[in-house]
Amino acid sequence: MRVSIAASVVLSMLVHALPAFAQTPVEETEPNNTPATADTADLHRPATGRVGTSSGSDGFDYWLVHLTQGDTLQVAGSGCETCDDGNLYLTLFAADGVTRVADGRRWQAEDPQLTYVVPATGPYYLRVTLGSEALGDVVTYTLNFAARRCPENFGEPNDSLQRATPITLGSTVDGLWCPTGDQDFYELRLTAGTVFEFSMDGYLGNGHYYPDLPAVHLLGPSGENLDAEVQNDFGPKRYMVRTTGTYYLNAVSERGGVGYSYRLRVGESEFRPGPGDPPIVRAPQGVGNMAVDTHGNFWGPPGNDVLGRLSLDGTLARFNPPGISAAVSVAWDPWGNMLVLNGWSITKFVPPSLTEPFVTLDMGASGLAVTTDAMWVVNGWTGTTWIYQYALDGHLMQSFHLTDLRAFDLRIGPSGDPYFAADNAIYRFRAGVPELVLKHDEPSQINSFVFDTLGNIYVADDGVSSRVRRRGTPRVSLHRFDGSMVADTFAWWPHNAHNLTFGRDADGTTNSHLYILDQGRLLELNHAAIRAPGLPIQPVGVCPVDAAEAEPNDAPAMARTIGSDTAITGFSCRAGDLDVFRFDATRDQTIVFDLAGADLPTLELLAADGTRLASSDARLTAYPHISYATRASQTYYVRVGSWFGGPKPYTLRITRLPTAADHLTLERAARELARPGAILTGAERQYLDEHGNRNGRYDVGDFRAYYTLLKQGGGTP
Amino acid sequence: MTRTRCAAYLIALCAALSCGGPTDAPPPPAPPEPGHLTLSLASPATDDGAMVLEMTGNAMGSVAPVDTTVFLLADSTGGGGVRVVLAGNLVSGPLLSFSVPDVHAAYRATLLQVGDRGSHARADLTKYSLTISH
Repeated sequence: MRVSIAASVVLSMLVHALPAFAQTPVEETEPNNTPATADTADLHRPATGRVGTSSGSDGFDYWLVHLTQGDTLQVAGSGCETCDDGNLYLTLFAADGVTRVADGRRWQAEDPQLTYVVPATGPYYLRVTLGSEALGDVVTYTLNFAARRCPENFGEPNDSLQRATPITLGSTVDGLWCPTGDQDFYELRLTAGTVFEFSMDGYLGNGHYYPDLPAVHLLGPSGENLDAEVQNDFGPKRYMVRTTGTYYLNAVSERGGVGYSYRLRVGESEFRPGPGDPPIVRAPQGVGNMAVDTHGNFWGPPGNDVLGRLSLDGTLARFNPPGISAAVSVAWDPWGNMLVLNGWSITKFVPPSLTEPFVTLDMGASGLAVTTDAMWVVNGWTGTTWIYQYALDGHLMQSFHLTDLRAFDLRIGPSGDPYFAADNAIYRFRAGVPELVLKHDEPSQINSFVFDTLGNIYVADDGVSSRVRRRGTPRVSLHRFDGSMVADTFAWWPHNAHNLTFGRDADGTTNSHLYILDQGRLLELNHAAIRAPGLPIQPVGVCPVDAAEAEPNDAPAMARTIGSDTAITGFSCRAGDLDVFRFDATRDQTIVFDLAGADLPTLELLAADGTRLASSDARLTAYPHISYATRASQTYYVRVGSWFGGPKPYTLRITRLPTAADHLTLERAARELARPGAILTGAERQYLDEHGNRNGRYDVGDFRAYYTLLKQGGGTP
Repeated sequence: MTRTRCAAYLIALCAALSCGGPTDAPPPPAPPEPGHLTLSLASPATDDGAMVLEMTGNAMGSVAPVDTTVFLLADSTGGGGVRVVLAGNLVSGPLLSFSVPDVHAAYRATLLQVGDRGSHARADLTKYSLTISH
């Protein structure tokens, strides 16, 4: 069908609400991927179709349009507004289907608008395709044959220095980038000596790492870019005005269109540092989902590595332990074992590479927290949110489902109940029911929160919402235990507040230093305003005591003496706890030290000076053992530990291996001298010579040495 | 020598010199005199720690160290001899005593091995001597 459209019609459609849009659209009929097979468009009705390359053959849709000289063709394509690759492209070809006469331009974000003043009446072909040629991108699109319009009252046109909108210090300006490609200029008079501050929020953008985030640039009186002189570490951008004059702010966005608004704040005194501000950069890089160990090191996933340990001096150690592919969270159990929430499992980990599968989950988890008697795991990623309660031995105790809540950042509160963040709120989970503790007015999500020992809650809001696309203002706020606000913001605003955590002192005590990740850096926030030390994050379990073990015994000086052919029971309860026993060899003999129990026990044999003589390190086994030829009159230390702590007892057995000397007595040794060759076995004679003068025969010198040995060993010669 | 043993000796001597006996028959042997003999050591060293020696003679009985801290083992060799093994701080002087049925009988001692107080067995024993005395 041949269709023409008059210029008056087009103009009417531009001005009015385009009643044609309400009409039933014309749907494509495949194949239409060449001009010869093009569908015919009705310029009074929308046209719809699907284009893409999933099938490998539908990369183009062609629409035949009949146009009249002098008319203006307007085509508004709507496909994937936020697609980087699968965005829609419009191209208009002349009647021959080959000559390209017009291209669409990005207008509503990535969606295009094509405008063409018709030079000659006749058929034209409108081609619809995607920006990406990768297989798999398929987009359903709609073509409206009308022009889009931007809202008014946003100070437009202000897209050049010459047309900049005048503003003054203290202003809050609502702006709009429309259509895509629009940029806005504002001018204001600044006096030398002023610390000019400006910030922008409220724009659309759901992530922090997209390269096309909106930005605001400062330009000098001559239009020169002053960004390099703008301080941008923390809080709003700041510029020390050196020369009085007219300055410009240039708000830009990669994407524009209807709805792409923003809020610009300019001032001299709106943002004041609090006591202790600005934040201190503790490390140029941070680790995600931070948890602090007893040495004050921060644990979390760094970049592309599975797990990292970051110290306050900036040293970062990276770990890719076997069996851990994606560390979501880290916690410690009451015995000091590091637990890594590894997506669908919880794994015990001892750096650098020892892992032990602990709990297998049936869904990907988003948070882990431990109390003195339970582990809590929460899932907020997909599907129904659940909270699981596990016993410390890994057995499931209870599970709860939450409705309409996406739970993240699980923490144990002062009451011992788990708390979690869900969007812009924090809930306490008590008796199987989530209770709202606090909720921010802003829709952006609470990224993390921590308690101090007084119950105050420090809350990081990263300014991004999973439900609302508009960017909020990142902040850290301070609330009382009942959720009421104490300070907002608590600290000078980080740009991207993440992963709040309190530090720990060298003795493992949680201290009053509060840290945060901001744009990849580890910052310490506003120490002067911390009200109390952080609530301890690592529960302390009760360890059984076995009197036979004689704790404390973690160093040779405190070791209890044990003899051969005995068994000792004890506990290696705290992760890293070592039990040392002393063994004095009375004769040259082979001693077997074997160990059972605990959680992957370890065994070492040390010389009197502490030199390690043998160890079970190479074998991760439940039953390590060492067989060692001890020398008479030598002192040895047996060091017992376990890779993982816990209240599991161990048994250490010290067994003397049978030797040629087992049946030797001084009387027999003496009688052999009286009756050479008649009393001792050859092995016994060899043993005595070996441990005597080693002259190849048994003689009175060997006898004397044996006599001395027995005397020194407390025997009765 | 005791007074009784001296008298018996004079009687036997008188008989042998035909000083008034009823016949010319030889005098009867002196009766054995049981008792203990002492074995003494003369050592060129001062750090002797162990010894093996052999004593021969008739019907030697119990052997005991003079120094009771010394270990001693006596083992019959089957031919009337006794091998003695000692260990301890052995020094020159009386070493051991042993009982005999007749202290006048002939007994002999030979040093077989000597060790120091470490584990060395001495190669040269020529400067050692053992003496048996009553």
